[in-house]
Amino acid sequence: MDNTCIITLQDVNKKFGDALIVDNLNLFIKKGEFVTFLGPSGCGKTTTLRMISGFEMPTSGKVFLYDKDITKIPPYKRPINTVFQRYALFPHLDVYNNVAFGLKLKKVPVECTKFIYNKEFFKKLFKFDFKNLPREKVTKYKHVSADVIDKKVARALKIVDLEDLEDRSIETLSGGQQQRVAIARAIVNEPEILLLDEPLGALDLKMRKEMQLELKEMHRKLGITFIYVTHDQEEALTMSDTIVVIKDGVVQQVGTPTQIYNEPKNAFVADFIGESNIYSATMIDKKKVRFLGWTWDCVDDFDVNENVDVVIRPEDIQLLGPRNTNLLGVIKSKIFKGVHYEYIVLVGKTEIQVRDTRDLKLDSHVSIKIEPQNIQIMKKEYNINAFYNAYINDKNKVVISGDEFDCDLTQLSPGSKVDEEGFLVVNKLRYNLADANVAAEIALSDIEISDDISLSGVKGVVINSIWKGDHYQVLLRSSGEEDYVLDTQYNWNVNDIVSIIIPKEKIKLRLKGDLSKYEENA
Amino acid sequence: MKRTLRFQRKYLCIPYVIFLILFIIIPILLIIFYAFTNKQGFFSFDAMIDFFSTPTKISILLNSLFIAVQTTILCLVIGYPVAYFLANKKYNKNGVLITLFIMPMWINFVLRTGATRDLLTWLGVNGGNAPYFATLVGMVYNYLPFTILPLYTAMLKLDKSQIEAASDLGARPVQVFTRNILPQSLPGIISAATMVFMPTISSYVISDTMSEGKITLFGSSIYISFSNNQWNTGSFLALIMLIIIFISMLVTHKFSNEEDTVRGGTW
Repeated sequence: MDNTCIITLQDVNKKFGDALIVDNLNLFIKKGEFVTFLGPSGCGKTTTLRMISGFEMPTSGKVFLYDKDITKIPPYKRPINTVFQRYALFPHLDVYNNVAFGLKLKKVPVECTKFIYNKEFFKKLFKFDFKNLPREKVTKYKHVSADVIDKKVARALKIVDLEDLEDRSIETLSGGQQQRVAIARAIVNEPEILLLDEPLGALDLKMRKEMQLELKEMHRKLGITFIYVTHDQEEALTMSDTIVVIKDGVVQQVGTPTQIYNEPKNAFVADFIGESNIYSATMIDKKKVRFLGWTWDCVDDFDVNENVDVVIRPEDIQLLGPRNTNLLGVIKSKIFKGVHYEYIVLVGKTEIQVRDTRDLKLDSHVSIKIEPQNIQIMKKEYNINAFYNAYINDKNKVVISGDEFDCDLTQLSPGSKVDEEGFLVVNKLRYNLADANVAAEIALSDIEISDDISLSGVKGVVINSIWKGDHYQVLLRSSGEEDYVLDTQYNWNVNDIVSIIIPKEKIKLRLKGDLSKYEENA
Repeated sequence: MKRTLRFQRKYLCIPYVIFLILFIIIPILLIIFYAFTNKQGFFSFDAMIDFFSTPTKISILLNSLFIAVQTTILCLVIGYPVAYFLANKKYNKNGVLITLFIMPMWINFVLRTGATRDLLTWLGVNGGNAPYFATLVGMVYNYLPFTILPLYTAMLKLDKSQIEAASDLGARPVQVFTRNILPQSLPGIISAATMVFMPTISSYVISDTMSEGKITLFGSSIYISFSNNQWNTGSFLALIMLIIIFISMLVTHKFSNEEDTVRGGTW
């Protein structure tokens, strides 16, 4: 792997109508890397991929291939091939012709000799001096010959393990086989970059795991750049050299899987990659941070009194016998996961996820220890209220640290509705979302507060209020000890008790895990 | 054991079976009977010999076939791009345009043809000075909706990702069309061609009206035979037409068998 950038995205913006899909994206992709664009659905990762393949043109900004500006070059002229989400194979062609499609269109420069029809030519022709007829060398563009195509197709099919299926029609193939044909069809053209748009999404879990390893192996063998799009963080961690985490069209973090997992840059990345405990915390001294009502030693240095987010991975928390020098908690739930147990430990009202190989008793009291280097501290972002430990209760309300808010569940799946019994209905399937874990996001301008405390069930105390030039930014702490930040025109006095009102359509929900696991068996 | 006549679902077919026998099977048998008998009702090949030995009758047949092929090709050439753009939501919001295109089908075609003739006469082209052209215009105008509809349904089903895939694999826009859009819409083309070819070959009202009787098509010659009481000749001509339509159906069926038979939506 060398260090040349094969693809550079420079200040790329993409708008569909008024919606900003990709927001000022700058990205460098190194030659030969396996790069994954990772993010929740609708985050702009596929749009970014389509701008690299040429199907979308950026609204502004530039795309470079090496040093060449390819922003306006159509897809058929780019040395880039794509494996499409639903394969997009040609049903009117058999496997061989699907794979050979690109090769048959291709014209390659061929050196050939051509007579020069000048005086000398005819002179020599009449003297029957055929050997010395004037000739010149020219390059012509010719179609690839049939036996070269044969050989290349055979090799591509061998790489994807489909040697014997050349004559089969597409409809007779299984999903996994179609997937392989789609890959063969792309790599047979020997592209410099292979784009893969959620190629494993339609396969079952076992098949997916197999294909992940095979794709990785293929990448190693072919040595070309792979750009892979997925919303599956596990897939991204397994396969990639570099992961680009994208949210709402903005790159959150670029790094190796280890960096992304161990040192997430913000709470979103931490929450999206792997299981994690995320808490709002305050730096109370040099390298001392306070959360869960306890003061912890840490290694990151932030300003004293700064509000921060902390992330602790479940496997980094140690459960010890109850002792007074540590934070105490009670084991509330226990699930066996094969190699380890997954515990939920309750500290006050707050849940902590813990992973431990030992078999501990339910309801037993434990104390909690976290090594300082395992507490990852991140700068708190005040551009949005994000709550990663929210859940839906049996009244279809979203619960954020004990505070209940009305919410709109239909946003979890397009075209869905909620029936009278409270189930989410999508395509005639019913989903019971009670106890479903979600991440909830509320923009700063969407929270209203009022001193009429009868207006809402959720009350909070104003912690501080800062003048931001044209508005005040108010920090509230609710009865459930959660912090809310909001923009308002009015100044509020510290320690005022207010009711917190959030219109239900303003709470953006994202389901953790797949909707299918909440399917209700009628 | 006592047998009772119980109602079974298959009895619901009885009306249609009666209809089938009365109006399809018996007439076909009658046609075959008359085609191979003479006026006295004895078996004979007179009608066949008469047909194959009269050059005018054969030329009428060839002329009809030629007009049918021309009409079919013209309808496809005009209808294909129209259907392609109609299938695009950008141009055909709420399906208003497609309704406009198929609206002529709501009006009886004899009335429609009369109106077309008057319109052409007003434009200075009519059966008097250009009977062949007028006939062709009448035919294409009448059968264009039958072409657009199956093509439109086929276009609606075009897989956009396949078109992108072709482009991704290096196909220039023209190649995308010839190698992907055309094969994808082939079932629609076949069913559109069938919808036009079969009725045009037998139609005679349109040609009679438009050419003001100057062009005699195969359909008209059958009509003339029967109205002149030449039942045997007429039956033999009708039989030939049946065979031609049967062959054209076999051909299209063979084509569309390879694809999943995607016929136009309303048929």
